[in-house]
Amino acid sequence: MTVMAVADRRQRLWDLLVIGFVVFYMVFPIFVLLEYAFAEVWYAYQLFPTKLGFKWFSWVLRHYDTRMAIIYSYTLAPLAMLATLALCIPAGYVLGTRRTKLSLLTENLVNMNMALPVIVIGTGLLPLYFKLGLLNNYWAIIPAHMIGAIPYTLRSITAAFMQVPRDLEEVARVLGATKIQVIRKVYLPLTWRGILAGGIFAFSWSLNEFILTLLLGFPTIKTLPIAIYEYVGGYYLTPQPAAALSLLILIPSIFIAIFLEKYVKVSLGMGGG
Amino acid sequence: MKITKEDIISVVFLLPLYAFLSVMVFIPILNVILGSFGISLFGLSMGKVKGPVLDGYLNFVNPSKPYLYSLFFTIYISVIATVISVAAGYLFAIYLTVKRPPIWSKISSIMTIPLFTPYVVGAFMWWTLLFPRGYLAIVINRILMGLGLTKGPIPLVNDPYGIGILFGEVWIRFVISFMIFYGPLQLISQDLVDAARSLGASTWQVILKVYIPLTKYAIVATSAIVLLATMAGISIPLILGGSWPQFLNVMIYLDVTKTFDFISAYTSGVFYLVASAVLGYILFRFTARRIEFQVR
Amino acid sequence: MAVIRLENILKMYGKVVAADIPELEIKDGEFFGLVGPSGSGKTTTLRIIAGLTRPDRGRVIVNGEDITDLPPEKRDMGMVFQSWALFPHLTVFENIAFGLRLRKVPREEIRKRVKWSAELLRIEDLLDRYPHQLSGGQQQRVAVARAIVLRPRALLFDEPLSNLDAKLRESVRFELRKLQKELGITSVYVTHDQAEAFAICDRIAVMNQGRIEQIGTPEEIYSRPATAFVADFIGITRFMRGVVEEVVDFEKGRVSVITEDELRLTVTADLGRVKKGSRVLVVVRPDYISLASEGDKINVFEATVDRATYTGDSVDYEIKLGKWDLRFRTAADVRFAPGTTIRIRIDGNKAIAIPE
Repeated sequence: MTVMAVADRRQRLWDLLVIGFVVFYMVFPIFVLLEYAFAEVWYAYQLFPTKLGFKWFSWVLRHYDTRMAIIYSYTLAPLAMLATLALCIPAGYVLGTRRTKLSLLTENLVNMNMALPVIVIGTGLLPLYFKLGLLNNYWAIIPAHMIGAIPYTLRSITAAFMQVPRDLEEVARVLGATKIQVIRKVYLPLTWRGILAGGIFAFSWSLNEFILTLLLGFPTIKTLPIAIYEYVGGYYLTPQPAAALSLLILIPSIFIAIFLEKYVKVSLGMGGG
Repeated sequence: MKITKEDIISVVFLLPLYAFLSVMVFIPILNVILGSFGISLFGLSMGKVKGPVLDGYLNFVNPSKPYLYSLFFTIYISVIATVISVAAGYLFAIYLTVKRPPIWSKISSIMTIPLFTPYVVGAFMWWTLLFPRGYLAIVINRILMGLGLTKGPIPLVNDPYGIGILFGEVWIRFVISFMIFYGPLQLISQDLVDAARSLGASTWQVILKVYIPLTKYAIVATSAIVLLATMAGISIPLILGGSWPQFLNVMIYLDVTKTFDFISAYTSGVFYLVASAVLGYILFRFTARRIEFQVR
Repeated sequence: MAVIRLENILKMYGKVVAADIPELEIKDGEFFGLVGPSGSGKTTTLRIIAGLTRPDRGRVIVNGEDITDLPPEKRDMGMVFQSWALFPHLTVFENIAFGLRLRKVPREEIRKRVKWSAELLRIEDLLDRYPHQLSGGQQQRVAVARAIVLRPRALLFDEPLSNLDAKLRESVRFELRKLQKELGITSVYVTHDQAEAFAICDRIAVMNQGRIEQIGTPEEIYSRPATAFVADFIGITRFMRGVVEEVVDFEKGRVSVITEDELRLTVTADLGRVKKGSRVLVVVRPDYISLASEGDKINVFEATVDRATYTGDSVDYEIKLGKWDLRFRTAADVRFAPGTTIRIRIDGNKAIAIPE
């Protein structure tokens, strides 16, 4: 009896070690981020901060630059989300309900989009924006935020429409429903989850978008990722404000991810490149 | 061919999407390709150059210029990051498949952390760990100096070896790699593993002769995905990379914003496009096949 | 060559007893069957022998050596799975050669042995094919060939035929037995099909809810079932409940039983387990019942025909004797309509009374 128990315990120990290591690997960077963000007093020679508080959060709110970054990020995101949805819902309807050659072509084109490095598109976009006088323009940033979001959003919405049985629309029509009613009563109830998920992808993408905003909006339009970059790229030696700013994107992102988990199985990597 | 009302709706509904893609994707790419030859799509001057010229390309392959080395550095670091992430992701997925520890189901959502962490934030987090006063920097340097391998503390971020970049990239890519492997590995029937064991296979032999052959395509596809993402992503090399050598995409960024050397930026961009096309094609071919075999 | 012993084995999943075996010994060269319904513990027991499942308690001993802590890859036992578990990415040849390659057997030797094994199973022209290109029967042969090519000291079969169609199953089961006898490898065979076990096994253990109810030759199990479960599991069985009136013959082991509805039977019994006054179940199978002839005196009863089913070569009857439902068979030309009263005789030599 004891021999079995020993082997089992050894196995549990290994499990604990391996999984413990992986969990630590995942979580430790966030722990450090939290440390910096909440460290009110932290002497250089100490391992841990001596006093915790919200000082840095009020600091970033008081500073014009960082405050604007928060505002820009969180106003651009919903706008980009709405714009992306406006583009993707009709397109998703077509792609999801009519599997023609055109649909497949469109899908492939959009997916190819994902493989292109964003910086390359950015450099091609720069002269275009320059010519049109759209550099440093708040509204012109929105399309830039949509580029990376579209493949994911479109896929989510297309999938949602694909799940609606074809005949439903026809049945509704036969029963006398108008186009609007068909949309309200047939499609909306069945696709809202996919559309919501797609919208949230777009929101998240816009929050995280970095390089295009940097190229096309800087220095006037600064979003949170850019503000964070400034604190590191400029070799500032006080990471605290950047840490606070990071949490201001990270925490909502966590909630978004949890929210998404409930409606969609897995949300694949987000990011601005 | 009759044009039905359906067709009209299809076109109308897809038009905004195509219009958007044309302006925001196709035209910029066209601009990049033409621009690499010195031709500006918008009639802008590209400095002293009036196209079409091959200066951009000659410049690129000129060994005394930084681009070739930068390309080499990009590929080199990306390959290392890919190998580490894919191997680690695969091994962890195998560990969970073979041992099936019960704690796993409660903890598995922790793995999604790097997925919803914005790249910039992820890069920043690793910066705080690796900069001279960061925990990891202190620990690693103590160990290295203690073992006598180095005389003084070495820079682990913004360093000339790409160490910082590697840390950042692996943290993020490991999870994607793990998640892509986990599914197919679970689908491999436990009977096959039992059969291999009854025929004399040790655990390592089961991995080498049963799991890996049956997940060949997933391994290739995942490697292509991770390699592409690592090469293309700019946030991490920008924040964690050193002043030299740089990733090629960081070079592009600097060319465009600091030295205003557009033709070089476009030429580098073309190389990126080609690399993405090749990797994307490999990916497409391999995901078109069945990624896993199944036993009844 | 192997003698396999299980001692004091216990395996539980939560509160459920998967296997509880105080003692089991399988003789060298024996074709041993583990039979029972699903969940009876037969596969668990097989996997414990194979090393794929660790028992919570107990020891597995082969040829006197305790191998309980030995991992499966070191036990030198070939195994054939219900799903056959052929490696889909390898050819038939490579599947069979798998174990040999692991042991770094030289190439020429591998070729010879794979050929030998394939010929035994009559699949030598299939060596270049892949499993998905084979029929079920062929895959099954490959699975067996793969197990025996290593000349293991024991062969373990986990319901290897249940995925084949009935006709194929019948022919293949005899081939398996023939093969086993030729090679002389100790074999443990798990199946839920009692008829299959009877056809090919030397001895059988009947399992129920993790425990062994009886071990014996097919004949012993059929004619002298130890418990009601065993009696019911094998063949078509009906029971009549009663009390032993007295022992009629001490030498031959005959008792007279009086049922709840006052019917008297003289039947066989194990006097070590049954005595005067014991409550018993009398096992009555269709072949124990025949139509009574003039001279019959004991065990003759009047029964009513409830239902008659014509099966082509015979007629199956469900009859009522007193309050008991019984089954019996006649030749196809003897037809009794439902409702008819018939005189039947129960063979006292075959019918057995077992303790309740």
